[in-house]
Amino acid sequence: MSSKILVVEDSPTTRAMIISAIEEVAGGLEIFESKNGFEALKLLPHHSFDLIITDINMPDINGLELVSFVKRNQAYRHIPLIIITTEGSERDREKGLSLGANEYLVKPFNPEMLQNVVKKYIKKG
Amino acid sequence: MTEFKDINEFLAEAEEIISELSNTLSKLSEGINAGRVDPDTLNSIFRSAHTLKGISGMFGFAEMATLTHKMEDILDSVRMGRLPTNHDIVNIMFEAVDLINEMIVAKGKGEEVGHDKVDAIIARLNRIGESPSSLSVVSTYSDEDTDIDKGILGVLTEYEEHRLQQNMKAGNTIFLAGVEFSIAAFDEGLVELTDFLKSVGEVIATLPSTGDSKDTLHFDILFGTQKDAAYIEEMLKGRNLTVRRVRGLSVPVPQAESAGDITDSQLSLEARTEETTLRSMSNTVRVDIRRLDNIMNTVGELSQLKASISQIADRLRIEMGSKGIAVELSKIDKNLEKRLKELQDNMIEVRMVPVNQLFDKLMRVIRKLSREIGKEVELITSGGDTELDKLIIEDLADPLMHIIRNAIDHGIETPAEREKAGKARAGAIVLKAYQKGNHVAIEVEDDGAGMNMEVIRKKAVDGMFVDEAASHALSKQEVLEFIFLPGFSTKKEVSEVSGRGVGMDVVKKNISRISGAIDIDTEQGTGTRIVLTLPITLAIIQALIITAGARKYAIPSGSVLEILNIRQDDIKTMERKEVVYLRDRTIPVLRLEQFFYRGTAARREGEMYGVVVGLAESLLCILVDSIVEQQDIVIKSLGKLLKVTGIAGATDIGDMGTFLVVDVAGIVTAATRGASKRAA
Repeated sequence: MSSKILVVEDSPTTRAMIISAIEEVAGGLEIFESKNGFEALKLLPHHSFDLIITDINMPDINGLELVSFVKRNQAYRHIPLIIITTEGSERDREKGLSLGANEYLVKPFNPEMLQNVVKKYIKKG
Repeated sequence: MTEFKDINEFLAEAEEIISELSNTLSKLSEGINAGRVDPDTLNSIFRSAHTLKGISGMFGFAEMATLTHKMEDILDSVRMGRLPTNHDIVNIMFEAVDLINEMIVAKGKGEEVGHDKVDAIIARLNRIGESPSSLSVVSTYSDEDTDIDKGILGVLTEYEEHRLQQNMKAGNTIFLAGVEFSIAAFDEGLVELTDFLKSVGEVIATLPSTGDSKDTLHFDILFGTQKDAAYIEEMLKGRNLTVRRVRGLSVPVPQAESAGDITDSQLSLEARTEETTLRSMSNTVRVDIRRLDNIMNTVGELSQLKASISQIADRLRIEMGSKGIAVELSKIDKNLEKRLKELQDNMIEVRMVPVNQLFDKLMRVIRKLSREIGKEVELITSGGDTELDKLIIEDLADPLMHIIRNAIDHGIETPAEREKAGKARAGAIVLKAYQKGNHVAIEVEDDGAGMNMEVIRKKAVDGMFVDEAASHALSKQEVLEFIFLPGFSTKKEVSEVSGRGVGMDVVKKNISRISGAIDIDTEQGTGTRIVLTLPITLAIIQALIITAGARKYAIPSGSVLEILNIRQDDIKTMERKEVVYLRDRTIPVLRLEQFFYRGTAARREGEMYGVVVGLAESLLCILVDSIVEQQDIVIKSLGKLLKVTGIAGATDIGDMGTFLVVDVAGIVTAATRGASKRAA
């Protein structure tokens, strides 16, 4: 069975790059994309995701709010969550980890590194 | 393997961000002037720079990444209150945005912008970043200051914490609103509530959590307001939410009845929500406008085929009577017509973009120009969400730019001159768009020096456009017409700004090419207003097919105001020109065959039709022999070599053949020059 991954990122270019990087991961992935926290919240109940990759700095509902939502919800808290942010937001990153995010990557990310992290979590699932 | 990096994707997003940035920076600048800086605007500027940094970094554009990183750093300090929000910051950001725009344009062509330019601006940004701030560094937040749950505080970003603290510092009342929406339809309800809260204060954070049932989401919205608590509580009454005043002074608000607005909209939203099964929630595609043109051409050809089918259906009905296959074909024909109309409408809708896209670009130019020539100019725009065909917007950019250049260069006076004339130091340019029937009007109005009629008149005499005696009899509008003639310019010295050899004649030609009209009004000492009247789209238009002098022509229906039954004796002669009286107006008459073939038109007896067309302020009555029908047509250009005044192009319609499409703007201008006067 293929793994379902949700990518939450407001920049279309960045989103496309994240997706094309993780598409390289073998084993059949089904990738879903949301351009903000709103859309992510809507997708969550409809799919059982195996991994969520999210940006922090987004309008309306930001990455931290999404992490907090996922990790406090019985139905979703098991889903591994990776934060991808730019350098300079260390405090927010720390907060993300303390809210339950499993890992973080710093932009500009290295596609291979992202692939490795993805492999690590979808195997577990 | 899929391409990891697509430069076009980068360029498209970068351009969008640049456009957004110039918009928000202008808003910030206005805010500074008004003494009210909107934190959301500031944060949005920060986020734009942040995203630009992110994407340029990932594409390995090191120089752009460094520049945007510097911008982000400074903007972060500004939004966090570590640097002051002032015009110095806004101006350097504008310069940086201009430079990034240049870099992006260069990237698109595979070129580079000079490193010195980039280094220079980075150095200046560095100085701003390093300058010892007069503002004290914000003290760290203390959880004891508030009675907001630790669970909520723990989720706030550094910026949100800062905003909470700023609100508390300003003595604002902080509320925590709890609201529950269905998962399927929460966004509309939430956006509506958030917009309302933003209108009375600042939304600091929106925190989602699991709702009471598995189909609902709960949101905690933290917001600060200057309004007093009773007012807010009153305003929120009737909404299905809980409101709690926080910061140790909690005043619980009784929960209102659940029959409020939100519940209503929630119900209706739930009803039309569909199961989310799409792979992607981002359902936007970027398409080259030429592809849309191709589809549009096919649609046009389809409607011509359809016209042939209609004719066959009609013939069949005449030959067979209303029975059997004739009726069936008619039915199918009607259905086809309906679907084709839908297809056309949808295609046209796809091509529409808000004029804001253009206004944003113009705003950047105005800033740059006014800086360069040392004039202060304030730009006010309105109606930016008015929509126009993307191609028209593109073709409008240069003429509009030229008009604005003229306004800044020749119209707006220097600050010193303005003060002497008792005006505000900063000149104002108002850029306004609005829909006007089938057309969109775009106005550029400045409060500058206006034009001197006497100078224009003299210049026209000197340039032998008119003789001295006749020139004195000209009306103001007639004198103004001269500035649209090739080789006419009133400013003696050629300035660096407008001296590009493109005069108002070219502006007029470009506007006519997109079937638009240009009107000008000016008052010396007060300012000038130029109004462009443009069709909403050029792709497919409805046209009236008429015959005149045994030839068929198409007249775009959008410009047709009414059709009159006219007899020869309705046509009067005034100042040796044919006119008709319609209500309180005298309208010049034009005989189409005479206009195009210069022959003497046969004076016809009996019935004729007068097609009254109008663009902007001018009306014209076109005399025609018969009205054939109304048709959707696709205008095809006659090519660059063949330019005929009054002809917009050609079209072909099924078996009716190919014929000419009248350019209403061109023909009205040509025919009404010196003829349109109000009846006494």
